[in-house]
Amino acid sequence: MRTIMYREALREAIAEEMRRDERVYILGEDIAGYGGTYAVTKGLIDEFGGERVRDTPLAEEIIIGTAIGSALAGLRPIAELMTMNFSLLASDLIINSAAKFHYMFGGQTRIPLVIRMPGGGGAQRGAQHSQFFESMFAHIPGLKVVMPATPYDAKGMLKSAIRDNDPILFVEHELLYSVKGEVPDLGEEYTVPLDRGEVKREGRDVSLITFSRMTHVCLQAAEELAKDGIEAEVVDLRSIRPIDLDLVLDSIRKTNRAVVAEEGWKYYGTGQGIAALVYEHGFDWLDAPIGHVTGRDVPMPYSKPLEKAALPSRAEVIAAVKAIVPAKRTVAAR
Amino acid sequence: MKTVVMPKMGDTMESGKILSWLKAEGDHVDKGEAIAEIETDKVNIEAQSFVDGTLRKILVPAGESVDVGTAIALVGAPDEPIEAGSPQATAPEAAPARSVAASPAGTNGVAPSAAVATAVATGNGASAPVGTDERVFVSPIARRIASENGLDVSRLTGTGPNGRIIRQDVEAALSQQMVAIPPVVSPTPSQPAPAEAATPTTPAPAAAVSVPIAEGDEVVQLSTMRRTIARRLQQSMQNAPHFYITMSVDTTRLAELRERINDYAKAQPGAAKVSYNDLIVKACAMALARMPQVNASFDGDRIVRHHHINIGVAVALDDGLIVPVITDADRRGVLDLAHESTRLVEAARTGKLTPADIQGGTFTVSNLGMFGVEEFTAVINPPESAILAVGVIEPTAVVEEGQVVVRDRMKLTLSVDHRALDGATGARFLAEVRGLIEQPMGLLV
Amino acid sequence: MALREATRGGLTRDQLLELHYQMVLVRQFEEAALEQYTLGHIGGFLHLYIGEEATGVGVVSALRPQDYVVGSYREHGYAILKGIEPRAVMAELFGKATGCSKGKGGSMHMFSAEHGVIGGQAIVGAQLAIATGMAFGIRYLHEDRVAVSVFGDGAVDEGAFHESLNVASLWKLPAIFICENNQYSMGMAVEKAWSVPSLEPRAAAYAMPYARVDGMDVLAVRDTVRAAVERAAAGEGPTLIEAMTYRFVGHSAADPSYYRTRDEVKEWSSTRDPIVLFEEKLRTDGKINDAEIAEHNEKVAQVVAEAVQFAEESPFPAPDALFEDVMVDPRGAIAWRTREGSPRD
Repeated sequence: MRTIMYREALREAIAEEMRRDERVYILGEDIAGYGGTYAVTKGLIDEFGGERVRDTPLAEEIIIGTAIGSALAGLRPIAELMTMNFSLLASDLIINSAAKFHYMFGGQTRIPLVIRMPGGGGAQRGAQHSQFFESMFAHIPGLKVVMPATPYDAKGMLKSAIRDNDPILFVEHELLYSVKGEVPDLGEEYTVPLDRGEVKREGRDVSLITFSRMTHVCLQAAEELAKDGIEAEVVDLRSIRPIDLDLVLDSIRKTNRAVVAEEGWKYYGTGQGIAALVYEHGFDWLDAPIGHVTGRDVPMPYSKPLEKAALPSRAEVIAAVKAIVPAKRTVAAR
Repeated sequence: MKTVVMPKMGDTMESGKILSWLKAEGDHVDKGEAIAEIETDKVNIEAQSFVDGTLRKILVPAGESVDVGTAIALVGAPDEPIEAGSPQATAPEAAPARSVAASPAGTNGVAPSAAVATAVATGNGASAPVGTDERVFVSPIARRIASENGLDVSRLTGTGPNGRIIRQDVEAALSQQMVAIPPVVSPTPSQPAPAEAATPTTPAPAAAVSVPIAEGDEVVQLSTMRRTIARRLQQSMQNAPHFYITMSVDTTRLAELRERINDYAKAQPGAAKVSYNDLIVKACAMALARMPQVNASFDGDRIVRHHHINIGVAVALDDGLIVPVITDADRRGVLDLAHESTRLVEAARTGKLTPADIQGGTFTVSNLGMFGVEEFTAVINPPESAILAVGVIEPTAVVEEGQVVVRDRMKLTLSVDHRALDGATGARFLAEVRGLIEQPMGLLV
Repeated sequence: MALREATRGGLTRDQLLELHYQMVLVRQFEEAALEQYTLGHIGGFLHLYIGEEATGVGVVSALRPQDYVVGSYREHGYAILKGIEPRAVMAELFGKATGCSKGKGGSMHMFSAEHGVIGGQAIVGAQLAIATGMAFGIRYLHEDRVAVSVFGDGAVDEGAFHESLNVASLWKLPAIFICENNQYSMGMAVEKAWSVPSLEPRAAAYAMPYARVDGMDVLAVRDTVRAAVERAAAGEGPTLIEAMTYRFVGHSAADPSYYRTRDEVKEWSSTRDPIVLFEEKLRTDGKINDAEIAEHNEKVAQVVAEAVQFAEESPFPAPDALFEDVMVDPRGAIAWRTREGSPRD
């Protein structure tokens, strides 16, 4: 095991898969000479050359069009969109083409495509550069949407995604790129499945259902809650679609209480979708309404204190837990 | 002769109106030529003939509407006879009166002000319940546990938000009940028992048959435990199609082993004496570990295979039956298992079982051997999939190598939920248990 | 405008007759489709290619079997011309399991990987971006193919047109962009939508060769596209072709064509019918006689009738097909874990 940064884990995954399969290439804005806006692709041009590490004009629609078309022609593209905010410019091709072709053409073709992009706020990038749209894409049959939180998961899931035969949105977070974590040594091959969440911390009193950067916020909240005798279980979904609902339900059967924590907006989003699934499939196991911690229902403001207020905090997670976990536990759980 | 039908021009079109005929009967029409003008719900469009020929007959006059697919004209050769069976337009009925002026505009224009006033009046104390039908807030899991144990939640005080009864409230109530279960005896049948009156949410099971009460009959109101037994086992027999498999098992070696273990245990401080039942429980646990498909629950559209092997041991009490659970029985050594079973039986008999002691069973062993019962069938304890009924150990004449010899044997009967498991699986499982009993060293290693 | 003089450039009589046969096939197929639509056997939208046959036949006759065509929603003709059986196209229109997209695509989504028919694309402009990507894939894999996108004049107004032309030219991709300028994007006349009257300056803006061709002249279209194929295959990059054509029927089956006069339609269909024009040309040259024309019409009528019968008799997709092929991975939104052998979903 080594300790490396999230961005390095991604770079290793890309490089390893490009070495493994010549059909794998990466394209995007400023990924070659510039090294990627968040330095994920730094140095790849030196090993793989300009055809396989392809700089594109600032034209999201043709980036994704090129990726889809080349996938139809037999390649396995990785498209980097500079941020998820720009994915809207390509969303037609993602939703109307990539997600549809396999079904609409009777299973005759496949789109092995990974679209990497960071989303999320917290770096004072303002209203147009701080958004998550994962729920919009996760709404669409035909797509997979994954959002790993740790370097280990990022590398393992990106490798799985590149080898997968369906279109996948691989959503990163601008504040996760420098997060460090343990990753197996180079040469030690591993992958992480795209349809399994992971319990990142066990606990018996409440399930914190989360993903992406909020996994770390929930882990910190769980440590503080433990000081008050509340043991929170942190369930990192890792994948939004398909969602590992069994893992969520297993945890809630144990704890009977859940708080869903996400960075995006509250209404009609990922968290509400998860809560609805739990009510549908796990109602009889609940001892309290599901708590929901989210970003505020406003466009992201620039000013630092306002931005901080707009983002969900550790304190809000703790408060949401305490609102549904009874203070005294007179009956010991077995 | 070719029939021209009202064309479907657009996927939402259901009917069309002939605005005008562009051709008269007897006119020549070319393939693709417009013969009539049609009004649809969206646009006006032309109907065309798909063949060359003569417009022989117009079946729907201008001004009428017909459904798509209805024949509107016949096109054919000039001299082709029009058959009697040719499609005819539906008799042009008098146009349905679509007069918009028919209904007086005033009828739905008056607001029922009285209703509004009522709504406003109740707005003030909206949460105040009316009458005695008081709403009790219970969390889903609390309601479920209470229902499974026949507990009347209306008598509990909720400690959750809004006074909601939550899991710990139900568990606290159950653990108090477990300590002492007072049998409620009511001398007169005519008067509804208070418990009945107060528990509308948990009606007595099998209340369909009304039993005539003769003079001198005693009416015993159900205890919570009796009620639970009745409800759960009735539910089991109704929902789980049972089948039964019996095997006879040689216990000679089991007896030898038990003796040696107990000799050993005597020297260990605090060690419990190991019973035959403990060894049978251990054998079942190991067989379940080998055949995890038996350690399962049928759940509607799926089967849940349990990770833990928790074996219930039926304990008869004066006023009923309770099944405490030996958790992780497969992972316990025989002495540890015996210690736990001793504790549980003692706790059951003194009413000191906690809720934790009776939850989470995945398989049950019921032993009536001590009453001299040779063999019997047991009712599955839901949501488990099987229960083992153990009979008495008796010296039995058996034929071995052509000689009649006497061996100690007992009969084991497995009841199986056929929704979850099939006959062959049940038989393999029982054979597994038999093997472990007949070659019992396996229980120790 | 100087329409290119059509040539008989090196084509044998059999080849010329084959082009005629194909135009008749597309025409009659579309007429039959319209009839079946009016009978309620075909649902949704139905966009017919009647009047534009010379463009499709000319384009496909210039391509090789391995070349890709990414079409618009007016693509039945291309599907058949690239080699999909007419019966499989008709069955697709009927929504039958035997359709070329298993009944899941419909009129706008004909597909065959085997024949390089990469769909009708029903999002205007998408076919340019996708064909550009395919051309990138061809170049990356060093294959001898070209990727052709066929689109109407309306697609020129989409951003995808400009992003695609820029990148295809910048990277010198083996792509061919064919605008079927039938003069209306639905009901919008091209002069009301375009700021310049021709695509020539737009091609110039992306340093791309441009050719305008009479889309009613099958041989002219063929020659123009052949030149573009040679150029693309030689690694010299893409070409933009504008084929001037006209549809004799509505935008879709339900379109009453309020936006144009009957006289205009009649003028085109009576004087510029591409099949009639080609027949006259061949007749003048002595390459075809009336008996052969009649024979083609009868043979095609049989093929089309057989296609309709096949479509009628074919089964609808089984109910299970509803959930098939959503993705390569059969799991949908919820990944039930399959604990050893446990039956879930």
